[in-house]
Parts: sequence; structure tokens; C-alpha cells
Amino acid sequence: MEVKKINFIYYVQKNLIESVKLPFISITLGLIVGGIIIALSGGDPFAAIKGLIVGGFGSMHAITVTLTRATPIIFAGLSAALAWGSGYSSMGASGQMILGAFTAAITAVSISGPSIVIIIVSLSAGMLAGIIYSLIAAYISAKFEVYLLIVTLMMNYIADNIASYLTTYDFRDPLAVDRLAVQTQKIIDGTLPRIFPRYTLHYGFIIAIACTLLVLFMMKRTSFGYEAKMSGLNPRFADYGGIDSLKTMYLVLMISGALAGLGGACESLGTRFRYVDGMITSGGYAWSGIIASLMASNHPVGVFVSSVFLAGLTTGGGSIELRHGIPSEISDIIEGVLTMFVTAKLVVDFRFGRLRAQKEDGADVV
Amino acid sequence: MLFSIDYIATIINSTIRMMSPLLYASLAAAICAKADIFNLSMEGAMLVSAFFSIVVNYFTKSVVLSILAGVMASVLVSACVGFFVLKLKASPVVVGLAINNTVAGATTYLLYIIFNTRGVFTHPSLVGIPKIRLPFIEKTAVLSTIFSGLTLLDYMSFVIAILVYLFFYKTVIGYRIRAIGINSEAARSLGTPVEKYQFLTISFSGILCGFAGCLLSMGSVRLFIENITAGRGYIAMAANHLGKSHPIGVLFASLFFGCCQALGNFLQNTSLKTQITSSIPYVATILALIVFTVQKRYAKQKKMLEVFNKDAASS
Amino acid sequence: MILEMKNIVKVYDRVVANKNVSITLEKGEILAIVGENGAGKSTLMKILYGLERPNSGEIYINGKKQVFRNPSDAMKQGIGMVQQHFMLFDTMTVTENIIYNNEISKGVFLDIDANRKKVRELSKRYMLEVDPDKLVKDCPVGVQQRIEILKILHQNADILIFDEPSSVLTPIEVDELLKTMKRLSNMGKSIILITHKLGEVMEVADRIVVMRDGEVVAEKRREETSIEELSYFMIGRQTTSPVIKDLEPCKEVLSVKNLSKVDESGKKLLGNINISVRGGEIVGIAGVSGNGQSELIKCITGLDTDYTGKIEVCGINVTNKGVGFIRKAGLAHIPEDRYYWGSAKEATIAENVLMGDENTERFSKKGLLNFREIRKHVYRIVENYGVKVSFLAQKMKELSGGNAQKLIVAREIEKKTPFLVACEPTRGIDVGAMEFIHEKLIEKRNNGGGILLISSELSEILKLSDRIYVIYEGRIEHEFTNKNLDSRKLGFLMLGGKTA
Repeated sequence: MEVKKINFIYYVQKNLIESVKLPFISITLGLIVGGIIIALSGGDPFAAIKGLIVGGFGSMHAITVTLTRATPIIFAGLSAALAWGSGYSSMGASGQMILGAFTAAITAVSISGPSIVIIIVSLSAGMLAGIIYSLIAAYISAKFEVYLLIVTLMMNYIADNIASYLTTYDFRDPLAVDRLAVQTQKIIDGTLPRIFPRYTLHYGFIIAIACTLLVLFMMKRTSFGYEAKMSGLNPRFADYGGIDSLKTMYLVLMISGALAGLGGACESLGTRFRYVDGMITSGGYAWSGIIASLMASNHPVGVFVSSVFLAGLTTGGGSIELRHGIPSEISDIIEGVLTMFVTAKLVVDFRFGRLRAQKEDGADVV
Repeated sequence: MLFSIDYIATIINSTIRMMSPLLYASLAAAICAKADIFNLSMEGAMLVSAFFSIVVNYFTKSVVLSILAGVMASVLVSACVGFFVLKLKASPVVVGLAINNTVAGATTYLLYIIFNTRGVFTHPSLVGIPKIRLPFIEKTAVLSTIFSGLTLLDYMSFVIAILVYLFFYKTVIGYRIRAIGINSEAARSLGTPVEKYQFLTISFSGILCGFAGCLLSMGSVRLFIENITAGRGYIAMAANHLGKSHPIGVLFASLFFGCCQALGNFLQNTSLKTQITSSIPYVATILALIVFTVQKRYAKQKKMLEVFNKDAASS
Repeated sequence: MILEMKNIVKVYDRVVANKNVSITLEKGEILAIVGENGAGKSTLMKILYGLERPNSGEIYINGKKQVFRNPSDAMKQGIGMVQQHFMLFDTMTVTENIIYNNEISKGVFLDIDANRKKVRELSKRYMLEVDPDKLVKDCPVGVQQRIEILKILHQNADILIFDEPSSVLTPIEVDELLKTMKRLSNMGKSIILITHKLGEVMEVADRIVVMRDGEVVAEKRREETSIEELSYFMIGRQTTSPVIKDLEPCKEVLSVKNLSKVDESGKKLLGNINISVRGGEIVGIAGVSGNGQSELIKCITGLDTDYTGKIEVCGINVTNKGVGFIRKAGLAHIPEDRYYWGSAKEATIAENVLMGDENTERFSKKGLLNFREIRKHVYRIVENYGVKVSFLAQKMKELSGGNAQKLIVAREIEKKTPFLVACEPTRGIDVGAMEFIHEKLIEKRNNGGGILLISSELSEILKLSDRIYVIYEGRIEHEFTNKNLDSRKLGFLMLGGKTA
């Protein structure tokens, strides 16, 4: 028994190191490539990368801005972690967030009552929008054997058009100063309150923490979480064991859609106080969320940490654009590069100082 | 008046223009599928080509150099995907999506660095791909409308579709690549350097995406817009699926999607709102995939019924 | 001496697969290398064929030292291998398969006519009949093997390695194959035959090398030895067969009536199958693999719900129902392939054991998992079945094949269901684990459970079954009880022979 305990501790340590090693290497490589690009375009890479980190985490202001930005990424990340971890490569978070944000924004301005009621109703409405949109994709994919990835990608474009259409023609803010601004009416009652009065960080962040814990509990402690995990690791094994794969798929994608919808709702209720056309897509939240879940191998707590990191990268990117004149898209490039490395089965061979793929029998990550 | 012959001819013309970049991208998807590589990166490859062709166009004013630059950039991106997927064994889905997003970020970044602008870049000095004028066609009004404003690259897309077909079904190398796609283990056991073939295939798919990108930025228009590809890479994947990865099947599938896009563009001039018309290609993609499955199922059912009837008749 | 392998050593992570193995091969000779699964014979051949590189040792071809980094190197030296799992492009034609890598071309184009002619010639010269234009997937298994052999001959191989060539063949096809091997050796080809079937060895081999635990333990000329002696060398001890006590079969646990299945292309996979299994008996399904066994299992266990006919498990109608429903009715299932169906490699041992029970009252309450109970259960299984694990959070992929199989068998038996479907329960594991699993299956039967046993090893079926059905091309037309069994007749029927 004693031996087993020691073994177990060793194993946990090994696992922890294993799971942190790869994201760490990927981040490093991402920063190196980013640095090279900055250098090539005539900037000072070291100052820029330092500026990136300081700009993202260097002050209370920076931290709260980062956490504000991290909030929707955490939701999108949890949404992706649940879906991808269960073997469903859904890219639908973007569309679900758009509809969630839009629905929450118009719900909040069209009902009246105490703010807490408005908040709850609007958030639920946003969540519901996410659920419905996710279930439509799930239905098409399951019923007609269409690759979920393609359906969700196509539906993202459609969602963007739907929200844009409705905002332009049916729910346009009549009071907008800028007549060209495509946005809905400003929410007066029913915005998510700020945590610290002087900073933008709002209660959506607390909801995000709660959701992280909830998803963690669901994935690790419930039989549904077990079934979802097994479906992701080996779908044939799940079928063989009698797990109803259709039910699991609908449930997983439903919860995944709910999280994304809620994320969108928090964004319009907490940050923008309205729906602005393109506010989700231009933020790139959904994609960052997927990267976060990949970096964390779908572990909810890991998703949380990686989301904050990625948000910091973007905040920092904004700050170096102001200070060093380097376009903020550099953080997109760093994100993209680190993502490419994150699923590579890398072994760093220090003796030869070069990377090679780990030799292992075909893992089906798709 | 609305459905006059001229009008239809204009639609056909627009369809061809919309179709040719899609056809290139779908062929790229098809050859990768034939070699058993899951390639999602057509979107990024096209985008990078569209961008660099415009950059080189601006500085050199040479169409040939622009196309060359676009194609090279696209090949580089595809080879990069190949390196990650084949050599580092990374997940093809993740790498594909990542490269598409990286390229989107990188082009915006470079657009700012090089031209100090965001969103759209255009300049009067940009040179478009020269239009081909076919003298024998210009005599008929309808034909000249159908073929007006088409460039060499548009015509070439059809030729390449046929060449790809010949390559896969008639040549030795094509036959070997098909074999790899059917059973890569078997090919490996016979000493074929499978990864090398696959790497060359995906790099070649980069050339096709390069042409597609050039057509987008220098074909009908002469400009670069952020995200000018607008999901065409993903639609190409759907076209590849519908065409069952066969070059000729893919040709017809891209014809369909090209037609949908042309229709979308045309309806913009009517009372329909942009948001609705620009959704058409995406809705059409989903619907086409659905119909594809339904039709396949129907065929299967018919076949099964036949067997049962035969059984009943014989007993 | 055409080939010599000298002092080959190959070590995988912790296991020594080959310890100083040396073999020689003469021109025109048939050398058989026999041994149990895991004796190291496959590793040796992989080294010879360039698929693996030895840690030390040398290979000489015609007296010249060679280093093989990949199969092409080996092929260039005239070595060819017929793999156990055929390496064919099944949606291509026979010609396209045979000529691969040695095509006749006109410029860059493939000259199909010339290639076809070449294949015809080859087929005639070696008396291996094939239809050059047929698609490989439409050819029977025996013909597919012929294609494999022709492919190697087309590459001008002088040394032919056959890896377990008879495992997928019917007895008549096996005879055919043995004749082919003799013919090829008379034509001057040298052959290495890897197998554990001693009957075949005694028929064709000139010389026999026996391997055990990675070492050569004996080398004999055929005339000097016997099956008994060889099997003694192979196993190193006497096997004991378990005692099967007579039982009165009780309640019916499986009843299949008029089960038929047609696939997408309209091919009939199963035709009017009627079988029944009662509590307290093991019912075997004998047949050459690929005759509809997999499809039958899928229908019975609910993995496939697209069929016609009627299936009852423990008296409950489960026709066209899914796995979950049938498992609740009383089914447990040891799957054909332990990694494809039977487990998730990346999941922990505990998670793998839990499968199928995650919603039972014992292990979960209101959807929450009861980890105390689960841990207790897993500990008990691991201890009772002697599964060698370090701790319960270990990943499945870290277990050896035998241990993984034991764990899966344990999981399914410990569900204590009245009915168990056991498919290939001992495929590819060592003798010790095999006997253990056999004992457990018999114990379950003796406790009143009904077992449907599907195995491609006829000896396993004969050893365990009370009753045997014979399956051929998706049909079951014959049934035996183990007492009145005539194994020759059984073999005849497995080939679709009709009784007079």
C-alpha cells in the first residue's frame, strides 16, 4: 500500500509536469516567432515582448483590463473544452456568443423591473439563444452525418449576418450620436455591476469562475462527465459500453452552447452595455477560447489560466501598439503559432538541440 | 425583362468568376484528401497569396511577379502545415485552424506595417490580371457577355481540373499517391516514403490555393480586404466532400457553390438586404451537404429493397 | 548460405524481444520459425525486413554484411514479406496492387496494358491464378494472399517471409498455400515461415527453429523431430486442460431468430441466422474469420441496429435496440479487439473498469459518482484476476496486452450478467493469461451463466464449448454437441462443404 502511494504521488507529479511542459514550450516558441517577426518589421523584439507582458499584467489597471477580456474567453474556452474533450470538434462558440450577446442585449432593454431580475432574465435569454443555436448544429450534424466542424463554421457566418440584420433594421439604437453606428439601444438598468468601482472588471468574471468550478465538478464527479470523457477518448469504447452517444452529444453540445451564449450575454451586459455589430467576431474570443482549451488539454482550471494568459497577450498587444507602434495583431500571430505547436507531439532533444516528433502509435486527435 | 438572355448570361459570367477561385481551392482539398491528408488550411493559403500578390503588385507593377509571389507564399504556408502535421504529428484540425487565424492576423499586421492602413488596401496603380479576349466569341453578344472579363487564371482552373484528373488516374506518381490514400501502411511497407509524397502533395495544393488567392485580389477587383477569402476555404472543403474528392465531381460541386455566390451578389442589387444575400453561400453549403446525405441514404435503401425483392422472388 | 542473421539483440522499453538470436537460411530451403505469441519471432522478421533496427547483431546476405534501415533496403537485397495483415489497396485492381513500385510506364503515364500482361505472365509462371482486373476487395482472402505473394515475386524477391500466413485461411486454402510454398522452394526461392501451427510446419519445413522468450531454444531438421517434441520446446511445460463438469442447461439467455443483414452495396452479410444459448453452457461459433462473425456479434450486442429478424436476451425482446438497453437486459461482452472497442488507452484503469456501470445504483447516486465504491470494486478485480498494475490512476496504455485483456475480461465477467458474449477472448496473449481466462469462462458457465464464444482458434472452441455452430458466408446451417464431434467434418463444413 505504501509503495502504491509513493507511486501515485510520483505519477501525479509526472502528469503535472507533462501537462505543463507542452504549453510552456509552445508559449516560448510562439514568443520567439513573434519576436522574429517584430525584429523583421523593424522593432525591438525584447522591448516589445517585455512591453507585451507589462502591458498585460504590469499594473492593477492592466490586470483588470486583462481579466475583463479574459471573461468571454473563459466561457468560450469552457464551451470548447467540453465539446472537444468529448470528441465533438465544434467551432460554434463564435456564432453562439454572437446570438447570446444580441439576445441578452435586446432582452435587457425590452423588459422592466429590478435590475437583478433584468440581469437574470437577460443572461438566461442569452444562454437559451446559445443552446438553441448549438442544438441546431448538433441536429444537422447527427441527423445528416455532416461534419460538425463545417456546419458550425458556416453557422458562425450566418449568425453574424442574423445579428447584424436585426441590429441594423429592427433594433437599431435611435439615440445613437453616430448615425452610422450599427448597435442596439444602451442598457440602463440591468448591466452587470463592476467589482471595483474604478476598473472595468465586472461580475461576469465571478460568473466565469463559478462556471469553471461547475464544469470541473461536472467533468470529474458526475457519471455524465465520465460518459462525455469516454466518448472523447474512444467513441467506439463508449458505444460498446452502452453510452447513448446521441444523447451525450446533444447534452454536451447543449451545455457547450449554453456556456458560449452566457459568455456573449456577459459581454454585452458587462462591457459594452449593448450589442454592437461585430463586437464578438472582432474580439476573436471564440478562437482564443479554443486555443485556451487546447493549451489546457480540456481541463477547466487550465482553461481558466490559459484564458487569462491569452487575454493578457492581447491587452499587452494593445499597449505595445500605443507605445512601440507595433500593430496589436502581433498577439494574434503569437497565439496562432503557439497553437500550432500545442498539439504537436514534441520531444525537445537537447543533445541535438532540435525538435522531433515523439514516436508513438497513431493518436487520433481529430 | 428580368430574365432576359442577357441577364442570364451575366449571371453565368459571374458564376464562372466566383467559381474559379473555389475550384482551385476545392481541387487543393481534393488532392490532399486523395493522399489521406486532412487539410483545413486552404483559407489561410488563399489569404496569404491574395495579400502578397497585392504587395508585390504595388511595388513591381508586374502581374507575373505578383502571381509568383502569391503562389510562393501560399506554398510556404501549405508546406508549413505539412511540416506540422506530417513531421511533428500535430492534430490536422488544430494546425489548419491555427494557420488560418495566424495568417489572418499576420496579413492585418503586415498591411499596417507596409501600407500603414487597416481593413482595405487599394491603389490606382495596381495592375489586374489581364483579361483574355477571344475574338471568335465577341461576334455573339451573349457569348461575349458570358466570357467577358475572364482572365487566364479563370480559364486555367478548368484545364487544371482536367490535368489533376489525368495526373491521378493516368500517371505513375498519381497512382502511387492514390494508393497512399487508400492504405498508407501498405505503401509504407513497400518502401514508399509516404510522408515525402504527402508533403509534396500538400505543397502542390499550395500552388492551387495560390492561384485562387491571386484571383481574389487581382481578378475582378484590384484590392486586398482583411479576410477577403470569407470562408471560401471551408466551402471548398464542402465542395470536395460533395465531389467525393474526384476532380470532375469537385468541378461540378464548385460550379454549384460559385453559382450560389453569384446569385448572392446579384440579389444585392435588389431589395434584399446584404446580410441575407451574403448568407446565401453558407446556407447553401449546409443544405447541399444535407441533400448529399439524404440522397445517399435513399440510394442505399433502394439497393436494400432490391436485394430483398430478389430474395423473395427466388424463394 | 543465402542468409545469415548473427547475434541479433533487440530491446524495447523494458522488454528484451530478441536475445542473441542467430539463424541461417540456405537457397531453396523452407525454414520454419515457431514459437508462442511474444516469443520474439515477429520482431526478428521485422528486423530482417527493415521495419525495426536491432540494438546489436549483423545480417549477411550471400555472405555480404547488410544494414537495413527501411523495407526498401531489404527489398533491394531480395527480401520480401507476406504480412499477417495483408497490405493491399483494396479499392484498386489486382494489377495495380501487384505492380506497385515496379510499374511499367510510358513516360510519366502508367501503361496499364503492359502491366496487366506482366501480371498475367507472372501469375502463369508461378501457377498463382488471379484475375488482373478484379478489385481486390472483391477477392476472397485466399486470392488476396496470392496477390501478396505475386507482389513480392514481382519485386524479384529470393527470400520470402510468410508471417502467420494460414491464420485467416480455410483448410483448403491452407493446403493450397503449402503447395505453393513447396513449389516456390523447388523453383529456387528460399522461404521463412513464421507460425505457431505445428501441423503445417511438419508438412512443408526442411528445418525448424523454435523460439521462446526471445531466444532460440531448439533447432531441428524435420525428419528428426515430432509435433510433441516441438510443442514441448515451444511452451516449456505441459498444458493442463480445465475440467468441464456436466451441467443441465437451464433458462434460455439468447435467442436469435431469422437474423439477416444486407450491407450498403447490397451484399448479404448475414442470412437467416437462428441460434440459441442457455444458462450453464458455452456455445462456440466456429468459422474462418471474415464469414460474418463480426457482423453477428454487432447485431447481438446492439452495436448494429440495422438488421431484420428477432433477438431476445434473457427473455426480453431487444430487436433493433441499442447497447445500453441490451446490457440492461443481461448482456456482457468481451469485444473482438481490446483497444478498438474494449478500452480507452488514455483513460485510467479505474475509468476503464467502470464502463457500463456508471449509472448503476452501486456506483452512482443521482448522477454523482461514488468513488469509494468504484475504488473498492476496481481493487477487488485487480487482485482477484491478478492484473499487474502499479496503481489505479495508471493509464490503460501502460498495461501489457495480456494484462489489459485480463482487465477487460474481469470487467465483463464481474458484471455477473446471465449472458456473456466472448469474442476472441485470448487473441494475442501469452499462454498463462490464456489459461487463466479459460478457467474464468468455465467458472462462469459452472455458475449458471450462458456464454457465446466466437474465436478464430478452432482449438479454443473445441476446448471450451458444450455446443458448436458452424458459420460460413454469413449462414449457420450446422450444429454439433461437443460429444459427437468429428473435427474433420467440422473443418469441412467451415469451408462451406455440404454434407451428403
